[in-house]
Amino acid sequence: MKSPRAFLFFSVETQSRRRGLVVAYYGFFAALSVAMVLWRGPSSLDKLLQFAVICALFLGGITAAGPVRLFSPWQRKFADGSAYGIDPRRLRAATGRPSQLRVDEHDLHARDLAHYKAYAAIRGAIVLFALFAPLMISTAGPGVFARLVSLLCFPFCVLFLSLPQAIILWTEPDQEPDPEDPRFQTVYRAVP
Amino acid sequence: MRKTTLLGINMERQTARRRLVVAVYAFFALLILGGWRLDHLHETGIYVYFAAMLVNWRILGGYGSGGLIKPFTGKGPRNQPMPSNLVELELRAAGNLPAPDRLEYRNDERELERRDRVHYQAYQGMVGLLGCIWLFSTWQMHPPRFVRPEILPFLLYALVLPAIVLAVTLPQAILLWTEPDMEMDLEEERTSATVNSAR
Repeated sequence: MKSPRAFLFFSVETQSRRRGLVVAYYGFFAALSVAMVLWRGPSSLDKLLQFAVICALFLGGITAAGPVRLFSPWQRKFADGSAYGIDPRRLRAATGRPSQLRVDEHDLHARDLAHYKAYAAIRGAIVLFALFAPLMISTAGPGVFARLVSLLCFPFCVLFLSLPQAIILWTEPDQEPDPEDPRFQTVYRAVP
Repeated sequence: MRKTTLLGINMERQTARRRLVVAVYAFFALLILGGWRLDHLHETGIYVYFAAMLVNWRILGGYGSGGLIKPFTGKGPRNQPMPSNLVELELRAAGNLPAPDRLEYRNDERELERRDRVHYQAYQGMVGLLGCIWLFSTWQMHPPRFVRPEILPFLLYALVLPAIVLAVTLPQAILLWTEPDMEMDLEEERTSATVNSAR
């Protein structure tokens, strides 16, 4: 059994809720970007970058604080205490909560596939940018280019930091509930 | 991998592929340095992009039907790629060249797993680069005391350019770097064939 999954205080146990979270996340940032550009001008978007990073941390994947399980094994070691020499089983027994850090083959496969899809999508945007940016530099100069990079940095940063997590949340099916009655489970005992 | 030779050089050995990766990035580094010295990459920058696309298309592969690596999507080209010899060229002109073999471009389970894993690794590397670009971009808006403000746009561009080149080529480079020797497979096949014949 894995621990209950939530984004801040909202439970995202079902797929419909996870998809709702993804839509709400990107909708919120789109509305925020438009509001900031209209209110304070395009140069104000760079003030939101820290906020975007913090929000991405709450999605999980790069931290243990979100509905997506930690991506990298070395982070998992720090999060479950084994990097500090603490036995993770004792830590779980002390806290009385099931581990959120345990990952299986399916989790790793979902993580890698989500990164492939995210990379392929972002790569397309990068190629387009690479083709049009030199034209802008030759016509408008590097100052305008730097301003354009600053303007595009925010949406790019939001997408880049959250897209693999969003793909995982969007595509992951609902988990089957654990069997209620353990009486009918078959137990095999190894006899020496 | 779809092809095992590149410009007549055998790429079955891991060392050969690693040399190729080093050569490709050394070439890009020289191109960027040369462009910087010529005109601070104002107009030469676009040639670096096109060089990256060309290297990706003809040498590395992955995102396209050419190159060493099979297309990541597993889909082959609609038409047969450019013929490599005169016989194929004549067959193509006569319309007798068969359609490309789809099985040649299809990825198996191991290749799909490797593809996803190298993209995960490349993504992690790109996150670090994005952080540097963000820092330079912030400095460009609010210049710190220890950096001259007039060089920041150039520094930003000089960082964005390698980042774009890396974003286009990094997964393929990791894949070529980490794939083991292909001759090992052949040896294993020979060993298993010998064992089977002995039985």
